[in-house]
This record gives sequence, C-alpha cells and structure tokens, in this order.
Amino acid sequence: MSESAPETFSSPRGSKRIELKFSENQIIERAIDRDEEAMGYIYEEYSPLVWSLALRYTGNQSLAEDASAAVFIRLFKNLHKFRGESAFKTWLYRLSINTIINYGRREKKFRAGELFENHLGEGDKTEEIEARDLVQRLLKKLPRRDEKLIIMREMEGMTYQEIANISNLKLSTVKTRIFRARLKLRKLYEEEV
Amino acid sequence: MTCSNKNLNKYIDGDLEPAAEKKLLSHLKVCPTCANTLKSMEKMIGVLRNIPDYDRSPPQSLRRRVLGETAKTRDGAALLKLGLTLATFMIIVGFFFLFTGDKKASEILEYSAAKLQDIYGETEEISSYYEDELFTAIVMMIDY
Repeated sequence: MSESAPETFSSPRGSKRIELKFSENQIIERAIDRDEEAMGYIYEEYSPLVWSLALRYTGNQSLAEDASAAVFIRLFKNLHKFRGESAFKTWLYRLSINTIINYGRREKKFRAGELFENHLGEGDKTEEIEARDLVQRLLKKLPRRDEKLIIMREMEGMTYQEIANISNLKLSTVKTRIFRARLKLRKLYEEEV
Repeated sequence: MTCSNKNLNKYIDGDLEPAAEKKLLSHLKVCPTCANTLKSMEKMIGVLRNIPDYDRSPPQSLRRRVLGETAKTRDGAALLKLGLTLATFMIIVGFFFLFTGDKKASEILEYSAAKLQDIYGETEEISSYYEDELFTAIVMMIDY
C-alpha cells in the first residue's frame, strides 16, 4: 500500500459517526484488522456508490440489497488484497461491478423491477419496461467482459479513460472492445426483434 | 462514402469531426443498412442511458446486514480463540487429574467442558475442522 500524507476525513452525510483523523490508507489497515469503526467508515463512505450501481443494474430494491451485501462482505474479506496500485475507489468499483454482474447472472428471476416501473409515467410504462427487460436480457448474453464495459459506458456514463483505469486496459483497447460489444449487442437485438 | 461501423460508433459517442459527421448523415439517407444499424444501437444505448438515477440512500437493513455479518465473523473468531484456550487449559487439568485423582480437578474439568459446549453453541462461524478438534477435546475430557 502506498504511503500518503495523513489527512482528515470528515464524516460523510452525517453526524452519527465519530470523525476519524486518519488517512484512507490507515482506515483501510484498521479495517483489515476488523476495527469496527473503520469498517463503518468504509461502509458509510462507499455504500451510496455500490447501492446506486446495484439498484440501477437490478431495478429492484430486494435484489439490489442482496447484491450490495455481497459486495461489502466480499470487500471486507478481500481488503488485505488492496495494494494501493490504484485509488481505493477504483479498486472498490472494480470489485463491485464484478460482484453485481455475477450476482445478476446467477439470479434466475432477474428482471426490471418495481422501482423502474414507479419512475415512469402511466402512458409509457409498458413499452419502456419491455425495452428495459429486453436490453437487460441481451446484456446477459454478452460475454461478461463485454457486459461490464457496456454497463460502465452506457449505464454509468463513464468516460473511456475512467473505464480504462478501472479495467486495467489501454485506452485504445477499451474503445475497440466497447465498439465490438455494441455491435454484438446490436446483433443480438436484431435476432430478437 | 462506404459503410463504416467505426464512424457510427464515433457518432454515437459524439466524437466525429464535423466534416465526417456531415458525410455520415448524407450516407445514412441513402444506406438503409447503416441507418437501421444506427437506429437499433441508439435505441438500446438510449434505454441504458435513461435508466433513472433513483437517488435513494442505501436502506438501514443493508448496513445492519453488512456490518452485522462481519461482526459475527469477528465474534466467531474471538470465540474460537477462547474455545481453544479453554481446551488447552482442560488438557493440563486433565493430566493433573490423571496423575493425582484430585476430586477438585474433576469438578473443574466438568465445568470447563460445559463452558466449551456453550461456546460451541454460540458460534456458527467456526470451521468444521475446528469443530471436530473441539469436539474431540471435549469427548476426550469427558472420557477421562
């Protein structure tokens, strides 16, 4: 883990937690030793990111909770593997997207859920939900690697450079792979419609 | 202009130079294949890009679940250490009882065995290997 100058991390979104005057690296080291406060800090800091990804990917509160829980349990088990070669957030995002996609693929009854329906107007519900379900199904027919890239680019709205950082790939490779993934997705769409 | 999926891709990303974009748009008017490809790609990408950002905070149940689960693992590990310490203590007392036949040592052993069973009952996270080890220790102590 790389050494960085300690800085103060204030309590995100809230007041309940005690303010920790440690660098993020120090917090991570404490969490590896199962320090409850440090683990709580990591949860508070990053749960909105994980939750948002899981919720948008599943469109279902219950599935999103299962997937998010799987991410954090895996995170705390594997925290010692974080070597500081990338930003912690990048490392966490990589772990989150892998876990959530794996979870989604295992879930047999996976479909666009009630949350998505609640966000639509009465008139466009059926068409939008059908389109969402279709794309969701087609995404799962892509190789995992392609599905992950499409989610990061289209669902999460990341830049190619951000995706390259998370995926440990060259920028040009990311562009080529996303281009090919889009073509594959389009081919699947044509076969389906 | 010939058909180029690469240009369609750049167009979707908004990365096409104005002159190339103008050429592509002219091409789309006369090439139904490219026009259809673009239409279906934009439709799918549009669906993904328009998934609403629900702007919801994670539920409290998730926090309880995540931190509760990890606390259980931590408590399990602590109980495991306690159980192993107790088992070691029982072995020492067991030898003492074996050589002296002291009645007090027998009572201590019985009490320790009961506590060890309580510890086992409370922990679900101890691996089967350690479960076997602990039970073997208990059985050996009771046999003594």
